[in-house]
Order: sequence, then structure tokens, then C-alpha cells
Amino acid sequence: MFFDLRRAAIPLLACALALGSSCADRIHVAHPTFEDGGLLATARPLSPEGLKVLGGLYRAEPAPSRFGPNVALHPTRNTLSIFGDKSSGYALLKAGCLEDGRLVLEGHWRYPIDTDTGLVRLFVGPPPFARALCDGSPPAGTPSLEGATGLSTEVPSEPLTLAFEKPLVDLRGRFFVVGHRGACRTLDDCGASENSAASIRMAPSFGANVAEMDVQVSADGVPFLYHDDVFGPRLARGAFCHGSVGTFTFGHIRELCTLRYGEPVPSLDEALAAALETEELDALWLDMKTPEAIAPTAAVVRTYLALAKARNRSLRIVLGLATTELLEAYERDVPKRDVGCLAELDVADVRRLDCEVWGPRWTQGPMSADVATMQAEGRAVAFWTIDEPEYIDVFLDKARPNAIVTNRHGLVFLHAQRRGESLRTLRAIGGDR
Amino acid sequence: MRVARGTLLLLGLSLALPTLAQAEEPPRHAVELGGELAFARMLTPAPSHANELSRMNGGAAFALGAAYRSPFLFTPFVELAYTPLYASEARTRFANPAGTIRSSSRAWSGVVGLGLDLDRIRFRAGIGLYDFAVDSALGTSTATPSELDMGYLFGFGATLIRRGRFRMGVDLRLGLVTDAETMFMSLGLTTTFDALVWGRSTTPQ
Repeated sequence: MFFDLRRAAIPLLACALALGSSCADRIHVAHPTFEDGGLLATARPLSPEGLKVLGGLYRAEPAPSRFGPNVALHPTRNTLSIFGDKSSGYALLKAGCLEDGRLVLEGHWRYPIDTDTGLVRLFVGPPPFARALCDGSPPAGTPSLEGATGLSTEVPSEPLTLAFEKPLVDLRGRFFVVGHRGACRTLDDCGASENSAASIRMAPSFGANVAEMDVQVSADGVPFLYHDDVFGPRLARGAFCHGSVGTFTFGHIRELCTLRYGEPVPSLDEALAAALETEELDALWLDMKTPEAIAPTAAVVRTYLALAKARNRSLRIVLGLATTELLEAYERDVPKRDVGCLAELDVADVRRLDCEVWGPRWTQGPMSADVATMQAEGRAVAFWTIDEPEYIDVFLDKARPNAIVTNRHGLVFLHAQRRGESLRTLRAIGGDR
Repeated sequence: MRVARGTLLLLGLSLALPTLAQAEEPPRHAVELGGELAFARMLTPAPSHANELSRMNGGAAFALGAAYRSPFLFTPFVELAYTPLYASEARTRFANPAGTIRSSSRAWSGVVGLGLDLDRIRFRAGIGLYDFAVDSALGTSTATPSELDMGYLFGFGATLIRRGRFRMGVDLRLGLVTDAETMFMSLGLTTTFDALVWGRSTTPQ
């Protein structure tokens, strides 16, 4: 008996070994593409103006569709995105005019809550509408989109029809969809690492008009984007990329670390340059991770505010302050208050520092009275971080904030669009404060 | 020639094992103190070799430990170890002016666990803390970051020689530092000494 127990322990140890090694595994979602580039390979890209015409709220058929019963089509410079309620599904599509006069949209869809993804191919109708768009002339009537979606790399075969219902409301000056860490968190596998320059450029195509980024500072005083206090495989790669972020010089960070999708860790300077080029971004929320980062960050921000002004580009930048240490550092290091702030704690802190934005955590509830008071004082209110559709609705209806920080940008965009003109007009950021 | 000499040595040891291992009656309880000298090699992550001018995967590792050997099923042990992981010199990718960067990583670990003795074979599994440390020199600036991670140890050892309270053997081990997603293995020679013994059996085993 004694010996048998010992023999049984051997497979147990082997199992423990297998379990231990599986801890290092990580699911990676490969975004599918059409073989040989699909129909777009030979198509002429549709102009940004043409894409803009396709924006709107649409009814999806046949039910149940891949994206739910209603979707928003959101145009950016070169992408038309579909945002739906079902599993927070989205699609990123490119548009091209074919030689036979048809206008095709191709790309991939994805449910960010799991690993499901696939291809999408839609044709714009009616044909005179598509031809007008491709010719660059104003189309008559309303568009409809007809085509199919598929699973993984399969050729799309599940029918999807989108019928135009109403145009989009311009959220600028009305509501901010704040993209948490840019286009997505790294774990959501949207095609770019969080807090990368690529993620900032991609954020508008995911529905955001503000990018939230996390700012750390290197041992030699260079502010850079990274969320965690330590470098490690959760967000970065590199055999020597381990340890507290504050012990690396920025030179070491660049040489030893890359983000999970292979991008370099961006300096704040590079991140703001990317944001400045991304015209659909109205504002940036720099979530300060350490008090030592505030002074060097403020210096870089001043440079880019001046650059934005010189280019007549409307871009507001606020420093997010989540702890009393950060509030004190801001008070000390930005005495002229020439770089705006967003206080995440009490409304008294917001007033004391005269911050432009109050950023309460959503778990504190809608706090409608405080929100109204802050807005009456000319400040914006941004709740973080809301991803669930039912809570998005509760906060939009009860708190009526000016912004929501989210990992489901498209979902918040869709729900904000449904409220349309009833959203409060901003007086603070980008407004008349 | 070296291989032949090693084979002969192992053959000789194997033939002597039954005599050496059973020459003395083992105590029922013993506290072993021991050390290990090994060669370690990092298995994952696979480092990028781009721009590398030289590299060294692993190196000489050592461990010091204690174990309580008893008639019960498992042998609890505690161990402190040093394991070199990876070292390289590489051309810089971003630095201006271009130069080289020299880096090395190592792990200091403190592990507790259980062993399972089957005659001269011992399987071990343990859990502990790994201080994962890096040294990196870029131009005139150096960085010495480190982090404390949880990790696991899995070992397979064999006693080749047993004389009195001394034992010598070999040990193959696998280390997993989960938070750092780093795995390494080592193969080494072990020496242990029964520092404290009691309850010697009256019948030979």
C-alpha cells in the first residue's frame, strides 16, 4: 500500500508539471484577412467624404444578426466601423469601388469578449447610390448594405443586410467616448498593444474621440506610456524586460522591451505626435501613474498644446490625477495650471485645483446631483470604466455625464448615438469655459 | 576519449551502487544538508537574436538546501538557489550614437516543497519566490531592475554514491517563474550530508 501511494504520486507530479507550464500560455486572436486581398485588392479606395455619407444608425436583418438588431456605422478617415450590441461586436471595414461600378466593403468582425472573429463583405446599394459615391457626386436617397459575414477565415456566407434608419449625431462638443488605453487593452486583442502609438491612431475607428493613456517616467526622467509598475510578459516582451519601470532609463526600455504586438514602448512625445496627427481625436486623458511623472509630462504637453494651436488643431490634454500624492504633485509642479487636470477623487479636489474635469469611478453610482453641480460650474464629468450595456444606459440616462471611459468604445458610441440630441452639450472641454 | 572515460566511470559507479547504497542501514529520520553545482539553461522565453554580437544561455548554477527524510511518504525540503538565465551583447537599435548593450539576467530563489524517495531516486516539487534580476549596461548608463515572482521547481534526482552520512548524485530540474513566463532547466551534481539522524532501525533495509 505504502509503495502504491508512492507510485501514484509520480503521475501527480507530472500533472503538476503540465499545469505549471500551461500558466505561460496566452490566447492570441489572429485577425482574418481575405485571401489575395479580396475584392479590395483591385478596387479604388473610396474617399473619406464618401465614407462619411455611409455613417448612420442602421437596422440589421435577418434577425438575429451577427451584431444584434440595430447597429451604428461609424466612418473615420479610411475605415467604416460597425458597432453592435451583441457581444459588443464590431467590424472594421475598408471601402473600394470596383470596375463594374459596385462599391464593396471588406474587413473583419470581432467579439472582444471572447475569441470569435471572422470576415465581412458587404455591397453598398442601391446601385445608383454606390455609383454616385464612387464618382464623387452627392448621392440621392439613403444607402443599404447587403452581403454576408463568416467565421474565422471562411468565405462570408451568413447573410447580413443593413437598412439605413437615421444619420449620426455629431458627438463633438456633446459627448466623449474615451478609449481606455487607446484602441483597446492588450488582452482584448484588437490588433495593437495598449498604450502604443498604433493604438492611439486606431482609437477613432473603434468609436473613441478621446484616448486615455497611462504615463510613467523612466529613471532618466523621460515620460512614456505604460500601465503597470513593472515590465513583464503581461504587457511587454524581452528576455531582459523585467522589473520596476522606474529603474530603467528610456534608452534601456527601447533596447530591451517591446509591447506585446511588437511595437516599441512610446515616449509621451511620440504618443502626442501620433495623437496630433489623428484628427478625429478631440482630447487626451493622460492617466498619471506616479507623481515624479507630472513635471516632465507637463513640459511635453505644453509643447504639443503650442503645436496644436499653431496648426489650428483643436486638441485638449488633461492630466488624470487619481491619488492625493498626484494631486499634491500637480499643485506643486504645475503652479500656473497651464496644463489642465482631471481629478478622480472628491469634487472638493476638483474645485481646489480648478480642474476642467471630474473623473469619478462608476462604482460610486451615477451621483446625478454632483454631476449636475460640476457641469453647472463649467466642468466636464467623465465616469470610468464602464463596459456593460445596462450600466452604460443607466449612466447615460441618470448621470448624463460628458464622457465615459470604456473598453467597449463601439458600444458606448452606439448607445450615445441612440440618445442623439438629448445628450447634454459640453460647456467645459472644447467649450466656452 | 573523454566520452569513453566518462562511460567507464558511470559503468563503474553503477556496478558499485548496490554495494555502496546498501552498505549501511539508513536511519529512520534524518535532516540532510546539501549542495548542488549545475549547468543551467533558459528554455523560455526564446530571446530574439537580432543584433546580437554574443550570447550565453545559462551557465553555472548552484543550490543549497535542507531536507527532512523520514519513513513517511514525502520528504519536505527547503532550498536556496542561484540560476544564471541569459546574457548577451547586442548592437543597439535606437540609441544615438549607435553602440552596444550588454545585459544579463539571473534568478535567486527560495523554494519549499516535497520530495518523494523511491530507492535511490528522488522526485521533488516545490513552490517559492524567485528574485528575477537583470543587469544592463548601455553606454555609460546601467540599469539593474529586479522583481519578485512566484515560481515552481520540479526535480528528478538519483543517488549514485552513499557512504556513511554522505551521498552524491545527479539532479535534473525544471524551474518555472510564472509571472515572468520564464522556464529553465539545470543538470547538476549533488552532495548531501545527514547532519542529524535518529531512530535507526534494528533491521537492515
